[in-house]
Amino acid sequence: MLFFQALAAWAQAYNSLLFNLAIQGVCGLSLYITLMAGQLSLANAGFFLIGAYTAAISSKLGFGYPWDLLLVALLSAVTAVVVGLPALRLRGVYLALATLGFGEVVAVVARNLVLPRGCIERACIANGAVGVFGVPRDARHWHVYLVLALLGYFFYRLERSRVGRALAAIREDELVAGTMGINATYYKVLAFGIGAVIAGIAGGMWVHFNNQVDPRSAGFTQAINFLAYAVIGGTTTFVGPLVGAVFLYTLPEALRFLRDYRLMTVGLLLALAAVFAPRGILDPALWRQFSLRRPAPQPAALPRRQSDAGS
Amino acid sequence: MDPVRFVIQTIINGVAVGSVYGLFALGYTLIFGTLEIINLAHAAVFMMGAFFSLSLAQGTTIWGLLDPPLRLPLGVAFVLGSLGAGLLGILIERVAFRALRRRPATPLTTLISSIGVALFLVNLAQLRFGADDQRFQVRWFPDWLRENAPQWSWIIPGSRFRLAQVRIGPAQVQMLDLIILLVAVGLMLALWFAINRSKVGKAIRAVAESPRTASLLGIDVDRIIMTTFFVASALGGAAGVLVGMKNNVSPFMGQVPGLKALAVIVLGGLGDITGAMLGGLVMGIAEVLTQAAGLASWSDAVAFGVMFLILVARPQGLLGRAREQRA
Repeated sequence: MLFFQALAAWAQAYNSLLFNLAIQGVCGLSLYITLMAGQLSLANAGFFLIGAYTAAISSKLGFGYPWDLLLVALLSAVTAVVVGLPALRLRGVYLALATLGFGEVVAVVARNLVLPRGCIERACIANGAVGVFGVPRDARHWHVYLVLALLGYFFYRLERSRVGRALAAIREDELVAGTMGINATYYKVLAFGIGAVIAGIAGGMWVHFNNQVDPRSAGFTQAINFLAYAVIGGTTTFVGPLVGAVFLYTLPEALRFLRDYRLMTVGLLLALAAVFAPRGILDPALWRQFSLRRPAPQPAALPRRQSDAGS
Repeated sequence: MDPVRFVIQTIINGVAVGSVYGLFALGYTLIFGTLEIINLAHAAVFMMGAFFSLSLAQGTTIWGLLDPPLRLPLGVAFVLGSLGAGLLGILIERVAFRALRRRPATPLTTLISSIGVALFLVNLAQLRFGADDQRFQVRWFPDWLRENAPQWSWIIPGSRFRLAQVRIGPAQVQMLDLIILLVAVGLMLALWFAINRSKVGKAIRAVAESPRTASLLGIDVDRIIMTTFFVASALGGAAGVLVGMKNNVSPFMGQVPGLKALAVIVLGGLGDITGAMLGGLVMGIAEVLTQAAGLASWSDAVAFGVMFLILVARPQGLLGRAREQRA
């Protein structure tokens, strides 16, 4: 009994941390689905912001939670198709830069968004750089945990489905996938759209917990954070981004004892993790190094594409 | 406003802003050209360069090592600060990039490690120099210049020097903008000649073309990459000092230019040195024009919207020729 009381007290103390952690996990998954198709998209912070703004404004206009999440999903999906169809012809760093540009444009639009009409109690709906205030705090913890569980099931099934294999084929080699009759554009836009909807819903739920949203709520830093979750956790299964999100999001809290040196240490650990665990901290080969038993003979690794730049 | 004056003033202001963007973007594009990665720590190097110069110009004891604090003239502090940023670039290459080149790492991993380094540097600067904005305390004019100022009208008719402003024809320009412009353009030209005319520049271009072929031809690829990082970071640091003189120096000063410079290198074509310079100038003039039109709050949207369109329509940049798709 005492244990449960202690647990409840602990959950109370870390109330918003736990909620935000789950939200970050959802965001990590939203990036993971584009990585499944081998596409590096940094647009998800933009979709997070679109989701948060849509949910905030529509709920202030009377279209409340949780139904405004439907609107969020719809708007994210439409935006994703409109942006994704031209952008997904690009690859690698070009796609990353284009989607980064999209995210910044979203932030600038949010910064200039002023909705003076329908001011409720002298507070306007959206007020430029100040953002949207007074959003009802309707989201409960279990809502986001439920979403996370559903997404876990979704990704578990997706990785074993025809769509998942098509995405993996595109990731390995788009040309070959095309010759096998896989419509690469369709699947890439599909993955981009699903990621956008997930990120948008994360934003929508987040704003219903956080009460307010402003243009700086999601930007370049968050876009890179989502990527860091996936890269640090590992991108071989959907568990990777979740572990990465838990690791990176709780790290600054766990390092509070370092005081002023805390964020420096986070940066250092991030760089070290990238250098020493380039395939993520879930990479089995990484942990095998530390095992005391002699490693079992491994099958020879497939020759990866050489990183011979410019060739 | 007199249209001639407006045009001259806009061009000079725009070129002053744009040449700094160009200088900063050169670092991105040089490193992208050789390694095909975006070095996200470049914005932090830019900021550190400004802090190096600032502390040298204002007097530093270097953690109490020097008893009378070392205080250098601004020009010397500028050069040393930029070189310090270059050395920092070498260090970053050693720590965050070299190990990853030898491992089966994707470009994603390098992106993350460079972000880690950037986070480290920004927080280090915050700890060492404080989070507040700081300003260069500058006395611009040596006495001899102020005394001989009227004679400058010999060079450009109708021009004359004032304390902090220059009159060029009908337009008035901040002295600071003019100095920034001259230094930035001078550095860009120097780099252009170094890349296209010197032996090291040739080696850098060879490594950019193909590291493997370059190493077969007897080029020490690691050393050339180190040189590239030094040059790129020194230019980034110089841009940081120039921006710091014009605005403020703070640990977060690199964020906005860091993103804008990405748009600049896309505009000029990734890895294209001339393109980055011209892209910077175009971006600077476009920014000044949007501000003149009273749309300052939209100028970022213009920059990144243009970046998106260029990527979709002409991924090789405005100047570049299309490269064939490589599978």
